[in-house]
Amino acid sequence: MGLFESGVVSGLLVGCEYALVGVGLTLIFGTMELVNFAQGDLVMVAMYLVFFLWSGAHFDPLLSLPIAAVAGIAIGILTYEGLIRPLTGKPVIAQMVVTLGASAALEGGAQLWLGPNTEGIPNTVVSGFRLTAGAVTVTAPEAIAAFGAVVCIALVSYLVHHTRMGASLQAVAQDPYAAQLVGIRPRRVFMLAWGISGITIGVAGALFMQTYAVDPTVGITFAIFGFVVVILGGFGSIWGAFFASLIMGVAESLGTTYLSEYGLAVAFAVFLVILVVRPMGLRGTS
Amino acid sequence: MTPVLMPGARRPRPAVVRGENQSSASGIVGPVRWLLARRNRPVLVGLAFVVAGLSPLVVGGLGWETVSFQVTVFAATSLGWNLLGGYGGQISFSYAVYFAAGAYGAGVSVTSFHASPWVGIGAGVAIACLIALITGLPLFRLRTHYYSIATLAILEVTSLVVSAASPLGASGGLEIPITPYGLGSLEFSPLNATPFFELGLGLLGVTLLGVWWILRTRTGLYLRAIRDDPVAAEAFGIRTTWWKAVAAVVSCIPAPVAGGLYAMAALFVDPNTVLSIPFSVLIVLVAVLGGLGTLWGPVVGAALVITLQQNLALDLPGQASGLEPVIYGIVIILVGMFFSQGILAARPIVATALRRAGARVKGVRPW
Repeated sequence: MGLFESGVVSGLLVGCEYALVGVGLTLIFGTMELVNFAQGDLVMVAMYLVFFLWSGAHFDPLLSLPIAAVAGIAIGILTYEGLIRPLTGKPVIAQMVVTLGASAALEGGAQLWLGPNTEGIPNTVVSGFRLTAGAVTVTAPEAIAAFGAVVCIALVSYLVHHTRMGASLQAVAQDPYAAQLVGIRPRRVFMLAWGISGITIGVAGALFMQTYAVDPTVGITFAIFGFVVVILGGFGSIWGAFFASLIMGVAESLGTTYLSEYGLAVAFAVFLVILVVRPMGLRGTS
Repeated sequence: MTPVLMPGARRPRPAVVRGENQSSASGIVGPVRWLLARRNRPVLVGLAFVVAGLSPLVVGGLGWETVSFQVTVFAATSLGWNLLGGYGGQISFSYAVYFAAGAYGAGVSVTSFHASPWVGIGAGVAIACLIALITGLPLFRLRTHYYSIATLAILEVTSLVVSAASPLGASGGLEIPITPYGLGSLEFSPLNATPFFELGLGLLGVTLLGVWWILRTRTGLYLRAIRDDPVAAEAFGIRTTWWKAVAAVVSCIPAPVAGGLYAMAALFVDPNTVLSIPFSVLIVLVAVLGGLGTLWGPVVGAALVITLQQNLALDLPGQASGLEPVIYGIVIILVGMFFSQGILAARPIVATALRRAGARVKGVRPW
């Protein structure tokens, strides 16, 4: 029985963390219908930033979290201005192709510059602490990463749903043309979406370094999980992505517990089945 | 009085002015003009295939042939993809699964059943069609992006399952033993890639013909209608889900054949290559960069992308690993930015340049 409970708990924790990538993707997806294939690789860049802050200046990942968040904003806005904005008005598939190219270039760049080694932070401030309740044990880095992710997602949700800035974002998402008519500048809103998405990238970079190690190829794993979560949650829905991520996390964790190497396959199969039953995602409406 | 042209009507060809410089080049101009005329396009294409088929006699070399073989394989797979993705508007990432079905089919038929790889390729085609049908019917109800990501999930599930399946060599891959040489066993001298290139070229030719024919039938028309406006197509009584599924089944056929040839040429197949995301993305990229929804787009795209990628891999050995994907990525970004409709969309620009360059040869239309 303990196996099942700890599987569920660790799935939920992983789900919270991965939800950050999904939320970052869903913001861009919701506002400009763009699947950003480079999102996972941008998280990889943020993870390396946090790693080098630790190895070079002995910054704990928790301490470099705000730095990573600010850097993330810069990364997001730069990506938009440099790669996506020149393609405004061009077919969405061209924008997708550009993010694919960026993904390959970032991964290759990291290989070239940093080598294929896996780098982790073995001893953070919080590592070593653990929480035990019955058969379930949770390590402090896991708990902090999940908690931080939830706080960050709540903040993003507040920004989008309860501020004037967020209202302009939603307006463009619903009808770009009408939004322009009432005086909202699409370019600013897209920058905003990429900026907020960048925050999630930066925060994910700092939090993932608590529990994972980084190598140049980690991006694709995060990205796939993120895409699936975005679709499962429903077009542009932040909390939909969050709950979808929890489902995927638990499915993967239980799959790994009982079927070992088929864990991730179980999660994707669950995704496909849910999609067949609910074609517009969990929170989507047709 | 000048005749009023209806929109889309063909402008009457201006009568060729016979100047003095015309007569000097007329010996070559006549046949060239005949060949370049639109109605004689099949002759031109056939001639191009004959020239390509004979090219190993002139431009030999194992490296050249291997790269050309890869170009034909990817062009054929991507041509199939383009039928559903370009003409039908359904961006699918699961063509690597169909490709792998043929590759593993050929591999398993040799290793486990000691049969001809052609049997395995046939089985691969059947399996691919079955997968396309079973996954297509439920998934084609989804909206475009949802469908794309769902196909990505199918790829991941397949990859994870194959990586754990020991009869298929698990994640280590399946090594195909060398059997007596011959067309039936699809084994040839490893020092000579010409047979594979010729087979790939044949596959490409058949695929081109097939796609060209389908586009002329009702299915092709329905597909384009569904892509341009699914709601309107449905309103006109086109059963969109059904026709998309039909297109999915038909369009997956070249992929397993290409996969089988690919596996037999490499004598090795593993999930980290043929079932990886970069591989399935490559199939999509080839068509998109060449020209989405054009007959020749995938061929042009494959010639460019695969040649670039393979030559980068050959010319930048070992120590510079990492530089290759960087260059590859940057080229993709640049092509995406400057040829957002695909390279073939740049045809008018090239045509104008050619026309200017060949201004002396009056009356010849390069395109």
